[in-house]
Amino acid sequence: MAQTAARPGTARPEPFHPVLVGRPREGPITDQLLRHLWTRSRAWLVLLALSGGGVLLLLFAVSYTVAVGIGVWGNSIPVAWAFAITNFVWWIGIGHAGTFISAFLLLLQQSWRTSINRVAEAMTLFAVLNAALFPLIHLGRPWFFYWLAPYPATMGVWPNFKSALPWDAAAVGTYFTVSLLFWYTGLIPDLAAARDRVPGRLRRRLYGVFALGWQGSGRDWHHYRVAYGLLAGLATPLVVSVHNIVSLDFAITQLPGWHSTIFPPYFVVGAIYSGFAMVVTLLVPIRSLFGLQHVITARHLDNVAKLLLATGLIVAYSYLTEVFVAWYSGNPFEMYTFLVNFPRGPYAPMYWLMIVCNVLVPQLFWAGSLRTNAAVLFVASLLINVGMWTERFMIIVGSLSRDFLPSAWAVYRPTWVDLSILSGTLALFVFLFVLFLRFVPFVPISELKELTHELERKER
Amino acid sequence: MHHLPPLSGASGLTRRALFEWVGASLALAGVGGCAEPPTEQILPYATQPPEVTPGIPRYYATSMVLDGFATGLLVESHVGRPTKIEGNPDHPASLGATGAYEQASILGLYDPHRARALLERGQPRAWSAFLERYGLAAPRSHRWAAAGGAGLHLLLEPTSSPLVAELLGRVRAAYPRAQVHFHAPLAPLSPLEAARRLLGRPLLAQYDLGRADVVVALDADLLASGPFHLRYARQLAERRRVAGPTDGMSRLYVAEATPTPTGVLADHRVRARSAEVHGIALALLAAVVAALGRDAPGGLAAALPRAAGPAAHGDQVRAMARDLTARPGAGLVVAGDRQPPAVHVAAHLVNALLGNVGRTVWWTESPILEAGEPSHGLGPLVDALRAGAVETLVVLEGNPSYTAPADLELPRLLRGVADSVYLGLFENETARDCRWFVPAAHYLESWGDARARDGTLSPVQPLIRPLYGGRTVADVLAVLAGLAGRSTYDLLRETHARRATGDAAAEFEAALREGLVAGSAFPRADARIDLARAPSLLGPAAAPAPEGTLELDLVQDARVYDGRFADNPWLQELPDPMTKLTWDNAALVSPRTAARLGLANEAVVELACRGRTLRAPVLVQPGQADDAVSLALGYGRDGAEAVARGVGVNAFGLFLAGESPFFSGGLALTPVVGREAPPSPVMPPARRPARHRLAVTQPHRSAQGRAIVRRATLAEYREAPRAAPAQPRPVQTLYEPHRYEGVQWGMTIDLTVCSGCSACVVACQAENNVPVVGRDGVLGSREMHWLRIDRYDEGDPDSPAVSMLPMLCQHCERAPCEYVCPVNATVHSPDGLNEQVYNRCIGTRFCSNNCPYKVRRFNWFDYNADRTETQKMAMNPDVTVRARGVMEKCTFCVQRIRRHEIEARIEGRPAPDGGFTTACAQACPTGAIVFGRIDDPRTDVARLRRQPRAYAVLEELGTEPRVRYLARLTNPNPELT
Amino acid sequence: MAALFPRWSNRVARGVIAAVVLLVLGLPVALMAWVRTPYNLGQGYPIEQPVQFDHRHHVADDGIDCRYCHSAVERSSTAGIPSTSLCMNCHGQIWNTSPLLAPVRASYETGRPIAWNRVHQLPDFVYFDHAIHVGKGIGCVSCHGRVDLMPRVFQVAPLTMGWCLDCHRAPERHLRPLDQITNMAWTPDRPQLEVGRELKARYGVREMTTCTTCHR
Repeated sequence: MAQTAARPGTARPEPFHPVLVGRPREGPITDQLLRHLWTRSRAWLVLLALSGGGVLLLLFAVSYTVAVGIGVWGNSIPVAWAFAITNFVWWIGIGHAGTFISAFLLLLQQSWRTSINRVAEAMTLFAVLNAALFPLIHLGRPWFFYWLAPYPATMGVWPNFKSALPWDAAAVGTYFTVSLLFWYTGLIPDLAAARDRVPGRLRRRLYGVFALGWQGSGRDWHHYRVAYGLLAGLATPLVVSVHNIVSLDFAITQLPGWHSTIFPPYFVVGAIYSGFAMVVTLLVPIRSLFGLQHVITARHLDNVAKLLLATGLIVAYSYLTEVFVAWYSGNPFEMYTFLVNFPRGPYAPMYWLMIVCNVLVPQLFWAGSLRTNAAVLFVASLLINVGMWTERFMIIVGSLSRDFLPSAWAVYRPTWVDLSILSGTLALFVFLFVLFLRFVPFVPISELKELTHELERKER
Repeated sequence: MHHLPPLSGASGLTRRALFEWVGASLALAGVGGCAEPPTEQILPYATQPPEVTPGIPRYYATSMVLDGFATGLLVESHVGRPTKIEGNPDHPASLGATGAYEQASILGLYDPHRARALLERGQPRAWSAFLERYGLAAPRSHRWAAAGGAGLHLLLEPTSSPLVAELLGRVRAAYPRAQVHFHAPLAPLSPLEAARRLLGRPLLAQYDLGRADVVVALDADLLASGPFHLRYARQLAERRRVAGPTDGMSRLYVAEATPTPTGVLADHRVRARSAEVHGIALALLAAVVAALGRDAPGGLAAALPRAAGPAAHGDQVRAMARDLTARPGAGLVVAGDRQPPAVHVAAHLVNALLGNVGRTVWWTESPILEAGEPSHGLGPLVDALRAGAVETLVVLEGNPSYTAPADLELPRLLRGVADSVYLGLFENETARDCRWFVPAAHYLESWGDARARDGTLSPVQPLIRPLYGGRTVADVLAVLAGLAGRSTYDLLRETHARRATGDAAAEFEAALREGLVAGSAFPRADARIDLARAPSLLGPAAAPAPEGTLELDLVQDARVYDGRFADNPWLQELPDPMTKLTWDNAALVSPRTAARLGLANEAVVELACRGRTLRAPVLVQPGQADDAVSLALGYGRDGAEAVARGVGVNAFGLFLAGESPFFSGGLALTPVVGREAPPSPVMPPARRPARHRLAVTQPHRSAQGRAIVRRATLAEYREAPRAAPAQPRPVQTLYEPHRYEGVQWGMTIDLTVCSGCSACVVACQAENNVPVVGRDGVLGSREMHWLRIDRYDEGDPDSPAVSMLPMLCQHCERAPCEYVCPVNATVHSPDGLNEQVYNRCIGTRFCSNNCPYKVRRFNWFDYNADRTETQKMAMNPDVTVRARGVMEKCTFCVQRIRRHEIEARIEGRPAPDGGFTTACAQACPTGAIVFGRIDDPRTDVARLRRQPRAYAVLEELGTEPRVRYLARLTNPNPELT
Repeated sequence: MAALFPRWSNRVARGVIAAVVLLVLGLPVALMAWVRTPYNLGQGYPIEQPVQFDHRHHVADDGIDCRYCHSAVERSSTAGIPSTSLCMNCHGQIWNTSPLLAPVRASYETGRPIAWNRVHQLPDFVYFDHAIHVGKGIGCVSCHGRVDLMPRVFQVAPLTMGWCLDCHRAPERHLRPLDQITNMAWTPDRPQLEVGRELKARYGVREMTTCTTCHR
């Protein structure tokens, strides 16, 4: 079965799709996957310029905030956390898919991860970079951020380890570092490949420096495998831990809408959900732009769609649980939040948008034909991204705006600074990604070759 | 109408500022943390005054005067600068309490917009120039000088000052034909007029609410306005504070158009248009006479005007009457100053018939100079002005150009006077209309005296030399009297010496020390009510206004009074006790009226009344009388006061002379379209309703059925006295319990006697350097008050049962804020305080998210950036001025606790209960707030905590607050329930 | 093809890696060390004053008690800097023509205060109270050092919060009899801890480490 499974060109009936269409030969595939490193394109420049503009906006909005004060945002008492933390949770969530794909699926021997893991990892990196910005700038006095770290201060005071925030800072920091190392380690052989192929001595030297003198010898490969495996092992628990800890920022409080024991799993799943949505949002255009349909095949789309469906269902279940528990607990405050404030309160439109995007949209993927339809997948992924942002917005702003004493209730309205910072981080994300696509081999060539050999061995 | 005061942090974004910020940001991000403070200098006294010890505050007694009536104060002074105002416990008008006006007046002293220069036609002049023109040299420069003063007119605010009286006497002696006038828009004229008609003399009725079992207030806000409101509030509270199920309560009936703090405490509140009150008074009188039957003095029953009042409120009035007659000599009916004399006459008759006179009410001379004489009121002056008979007009304080009835057109007439002088704190509307302007001295800079409402003589002594060379009324009068050489201080001592019984100097010193002249209250006047003449003074009861016609009610504002405090940011940002509105006034309408006219909050309407129009935003006010539209006076100022300018609308535009200038029927109200309208793509401006956003601090009035305020009737309380579950559920916790050692502090707040007057809010602001955020800040719900007063309405939205709930940091023993702070910036002290450490806070705001009471405040901007040097002088040196980006909240006035503790411990004893209290508790007129040691079972606060009425807000959360509330009790008449 | 890099580049690479690691680990340590230096804390730098007032002379030679000039120390939060008139109590008679005292006389005549430069500068959010410290057995010398040996006064203690806490956590290490408060040279006749514990009990001294002890 397996042999025939992957005979070149033979189309198999749904739902099975090959991981690779055809058997690319050494030279051509490497060239195809590296060519963008030395080919210029106007479209690329335009994209870079546009996102670059957005980055400048971000820079300004952040400087303005730091210079004048958090007051330039729409935050208030009771809504002391709003856009900044919403964006933080959203970005950090997106940052999950990468490591999940590379580490988790690597350990699970999922061959199909190969073609997409580099892109996913890069995405993770840039997303976490964005996320890490927010805990910093949302501080009233950002220049004292280091008081969150446990170090022997002349004040003789330490951080409060009961609070979730010092752990949060640590978790995000760790996650970023490990993701970076993991991504870079995986990159080394391909950087070497680039070094050997790109025209121009300067370029070669540049890639050479980052290739760390890779020779492709058996010894190199051995060390490489060990290191990569170790990092995978290290990264896997982080996928779970980071968003667990982030969820504690909310779960340890007693605010109706935050005070919930299901938050840790619910946040992790939500994170992977949004992460995979973002993966799709990125892969579909890349796939068609660089003509990689035979490398990033319907099989990949199909699998990602299935994952979206699965995680989407768990998220939907979590929503249901929250509402049920609120009703079942009989706690008047919880009941008000979930049965009155969310569905009928000032932010009801956001709430229902969230339901549509996160619960209804993924139901499309029961249909196999839709799972492999790039266009549908792309649109759906965008909607899910929006939905996950509104989810975080509802949790944070929705819950805060109406808590225990009605006398303190107030509605939050974002200012132009809030909006600039959100769109600014999106721009930064695109900006970094565009650079990544231009200067880094974004499909792991070495692993791809490896995969090809394996498939051929199977066929023999 | 948009407005941002100088003290608020947010500033408009200019292109230049923008680049500075971008630059600054990078710098800030880099070195913001480690900015080296410059080496400070220490400037010791060259010669140290013996009484001053740096670091130890001193207290001086003085008096604040409002429309002639004195309230005794103790003012805290740090090395020569006054910083905080407290009530003088020995003074009859204070009894140790203070109101919002007194508390905020400290900021008024340091107001940077106060006038600084003596001007003639806007040109700076020397005081000597003024002296030359009006002082000894006057005879040569003025015709009136030769003509015995004919053509010389003086316009003052009503005064009770013996010194001023003395000086006026001297001026009159020098210029017999000079005319003196008194004007203040809110000065109580009709009570004196009523007394003049009824008793033959303009006597002033004095009340003792402490001896009354039944109090009926007819449009009288006894507890929150008027010169004795602090005293009345205390007296009423003493009769309503219930220590146990066996205690009794007095009963309070209130009839009023718009809710007031007095109405909040009422057991029965009759929503009546102001014009209806007359009818109610007559109906009450008739009912009482009927109830007395043959005990009623002969003929009175027959002589009463028929058709006494509409049937409306009939049964309530009859119940009142029965209640009053059931307790002869222990009842009290009070008519409000806004009401015409006839209503006062009716009230006095009821009191007389029931033998209350001499017990709960009696008469004395009025402390006001020339009370009840025609010199009070602008009529004669305006006539003289119109006749061109005024050569020189000297206006001493007040702001007549702004507060005079609109139909008198005083500003135009003033501008017509060739030679006019105005003495005022600000270059306001009147200053603009006068030729000479003399900056006035604040009362904290002045020597003087005044009498309390009961005649008690109260000295006014300065705590600081005039900041801007201001002069007092006495100073200017002395000039006119040709006494320019004499200091006001000497003149004051002289007038007192004349009254002295023994050693004049010693008595004067004693008066300054105690803040009053002991035993100087007026004796009771023996006043005979001529029952035969009385009925003719009752006037015909106004026929009930036809359904749907509107009444305009102009009301005294709880924050800016008649506009004189409009430049005070603390008062502008103080939420109105009833509406919770800040930085504005609005046309208040009842929900039913709003529905009938299709009006919503913030809709701009045009009020047309007596041929004059005014535009104002609408605010729907539950408890407002139907078809009565109330508008507060004192806004829409147009003087040089930067804070006051353009805040709200000027209701004096509808204020017209007459017997009842404060209300009138025939109001037409039409929604405004087009102008001030919000942008809308769909509707053309012509049909878009105009809107003005109102900065209301509490939009949500319903408790959503949550047991936040616990209330019961006295009867229910006697059935089941316990407000909270006897055994609160034990709280499970993972953390080891907090270590409590030594003295333990706590607070109780008795909701039964809290009227929501809001004095505590300003007191807290003054004591704790709480910044002001401005209208935009309030609209963004960023007000900084450490203590706010929540209002919760229950029942019928048209006339809800209103409860006031002072909400401050509850100092939870298991504080949710503490375990979430990542840097230990909010922690617990061994004596049970929830501490906020500003200098450790990095501003994650996590604590606020986890605070169920939402009492934590955040410095969104650097709110202290643009304080002027004088404004800095108002700061309390014992409290840190918070930086941008840190959290702050109520500390139980920890600076007072620690100072008290240190003093005690130096003497080697633990800090005792009493001897000090928190700023809010000290200001509270009704004594609703009690602070002290809860570890000692004998203290007041400990006793109150043990009361069955005591409960903790949101106790189901297990926060175990140190602040306990005593359930709200009312004592309704069984007949009416 | 030709080698892209020369041999020595390997060593360079290793060096760079090592340097990066060192920087990442070393920088925080260096900063933590720097903030503790006397230079950063302003310890031991004599401060110039408008008048060359010499504590050696007044305290050691003349034996004037601290409280003669710093008279508020037992009642107030601040010890108090003497007013010019106080200086003139003596210097009206002695050295009343000394050029060194010209600024003092000028101040006395004009009534304009002498602008002394602050030596011990605490942040504005710290509310230190002299009265309670001297009232509970903490000597002047404990914080101010041997002022009697200083020609120009300088800051002896680091004045960091950690330094305050050291004493607030274990006051017995610095307590002395109330009659020895201003004695610059006092040393316990028995081990300090013994004396300290005894006095701690007698004066009812507590470990005051709750934040509002100093921050309000």
